[in-house]
Amino acid sequence: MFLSIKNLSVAIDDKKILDNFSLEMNKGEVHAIMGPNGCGKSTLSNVLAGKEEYEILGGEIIFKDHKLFDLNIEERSQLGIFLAFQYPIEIPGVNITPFLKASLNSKLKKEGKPEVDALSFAKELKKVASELGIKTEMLSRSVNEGFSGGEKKRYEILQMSILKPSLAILDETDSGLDVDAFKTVTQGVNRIKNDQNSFLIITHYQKLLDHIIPDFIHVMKDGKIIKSGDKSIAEQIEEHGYKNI
Amino acid sequence: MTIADIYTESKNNFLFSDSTNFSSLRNDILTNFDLSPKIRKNNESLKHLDPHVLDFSYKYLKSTNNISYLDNHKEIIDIKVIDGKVSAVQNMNKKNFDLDINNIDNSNLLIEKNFLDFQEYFNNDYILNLNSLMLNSGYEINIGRNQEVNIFISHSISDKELTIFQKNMITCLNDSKVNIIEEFQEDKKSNNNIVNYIDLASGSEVTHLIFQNNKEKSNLQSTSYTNCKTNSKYKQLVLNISKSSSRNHHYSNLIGDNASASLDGIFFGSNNQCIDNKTQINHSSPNCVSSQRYKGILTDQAKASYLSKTFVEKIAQKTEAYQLSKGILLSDNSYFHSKPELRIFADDVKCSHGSTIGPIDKDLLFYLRSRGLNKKESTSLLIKSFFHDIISDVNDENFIEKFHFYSDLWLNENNI
Repeated sequence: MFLSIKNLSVAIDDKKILDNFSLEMNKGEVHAIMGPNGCGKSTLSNVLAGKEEYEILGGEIIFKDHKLFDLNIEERSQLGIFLAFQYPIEIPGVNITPFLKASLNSKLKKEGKPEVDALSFAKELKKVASELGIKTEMLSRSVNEGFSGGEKKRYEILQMSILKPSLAILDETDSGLDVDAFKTVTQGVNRIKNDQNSFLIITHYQKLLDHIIPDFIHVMKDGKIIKSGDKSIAEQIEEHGYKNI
Repeated sequence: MTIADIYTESKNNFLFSDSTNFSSLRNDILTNFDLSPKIRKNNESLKHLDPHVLDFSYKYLKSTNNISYLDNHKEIIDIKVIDGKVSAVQNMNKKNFDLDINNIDNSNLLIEKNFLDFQEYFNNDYILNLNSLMLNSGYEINIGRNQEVNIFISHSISDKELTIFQKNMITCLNDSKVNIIEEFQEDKKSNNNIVNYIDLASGSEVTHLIFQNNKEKSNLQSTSYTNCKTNSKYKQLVLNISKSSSRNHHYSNLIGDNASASLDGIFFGSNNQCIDNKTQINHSSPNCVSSQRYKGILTDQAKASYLSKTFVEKIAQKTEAYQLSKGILLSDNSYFHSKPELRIFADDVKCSHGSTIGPIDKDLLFYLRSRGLNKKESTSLLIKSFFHDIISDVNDENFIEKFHFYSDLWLNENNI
């Protein structure tokens, strides 16, 4: 199994957020998670990426035959996990291009591959940015500094496109986007999606799932999955909300 | 030995020892020099200071006032200050600069008067009183009208356990543009108490970058007092990466319309270091702009303080003044005391202050590490980001590189 989450229970500040949560994903699959606010969707993303302030009460996560709880944040990233943040953070003074190059090289180094040099990286970054409709001038700015909400999300997708993760987690990446930024996100995912990588997409809206077709949709409530099925679940939620799920 | 014993033993060797006015000042200082526990606890110049700074034996080597002049075809005027006196100047004659550099001696009555006039601002400051009491060295630099000069001043001492009590006077005449880089890289056990008086005439601009990298036992107390006249601009940045205890107290007086001053500082503290910072800007004329920003990172048992003050007189309408104090604490036992203060007597001003102290932001660290950078790389980037707003205002590439090099070195040495 590519990703296996078994009976995962997680708390923060003594409050249980995930309660015996289980999920299995195969390579090449797209899974969507929907659920009302506060049901634990973002906690799940953060725990997968390794955020440290959560208390793991029980359960385990196996990813590509590795026990995730044995790995720290950067080791998980180097193994191929990428989290597109719901609220990407501004880091003034840290320039996008060298930051992303260092990030890619940490992954290549871990994989035993040669590191990329500054010139060829800049060329590749420019090419990918252009394909995603991201202006080149953005590449000389600091990470997320002064970016609009849409620009921040586009930049998350640019990072994902460069790092080519094997598991990408998109935490409400579609929220608050205008039409063009929405297109960047969906094109970005479809551009790198193949049978070797998987996507876990957290969203409130059916619209995103019209453009990135999921293999499975899961509905979360009170820290666990209460229903799984195909795309029709999203239509049901769009029409009636979470009441009758 | 008490301060009085040290004074009595050495008083004939001090600068202006034959001056009646200076002797009278010295007697006043000595009469009121009370280091009782109550005073140490309550006096603002003592309560944030490393108390060991006051435990010294006076030792000063009286050297010649002669200066050697050399040219080596560089654009920068290179001044070597040894034991508080200028010993060599390079490249001054190359462009026939209207510039004058002298060591101060007992015959310089104008300078003596200036020093006495300035004294009234600091009557309660024990470190500045000590400086006046034991004053043994100093220099003056006079920069002529419309001159554009780059000056590099390196300070060093010739022997261990020296005590330097130095006052310098830098005068920049109308419309001069001056870049000063001052460097302290002392590794001998010593105490350096240095006061710079800087006078900016109308339309002059001074950028003053101060790099402090003293070793453990080489204590430094650096003070500056700047007068800014109409349309003048003074910009100071102290980069303090010293391993010793240090004190940086810097004052600016905006005394002409449209003058501006910024007093910025960056400091790193580890082990049992004690870092005492203070800035104050007095707005005494309308339409002036000021900024005071100090940021520091502390680990182990290091202690730091930063007192910032903006004083706006009633006449100083349309003042714009900004204060910022930020500290990152990397250990449970490090300590940062911040006290921003605004005293405003004019009613049409824009003044603000902000202060934050805490550990490295976990969310920022998580973001960078989630992109594959390890904790050390991420912390190094975040520390550069923390200082970015101050460093990005510096135009000197070498100084910026120095900042990057030494901040990385500090992180490595402290296993961060």
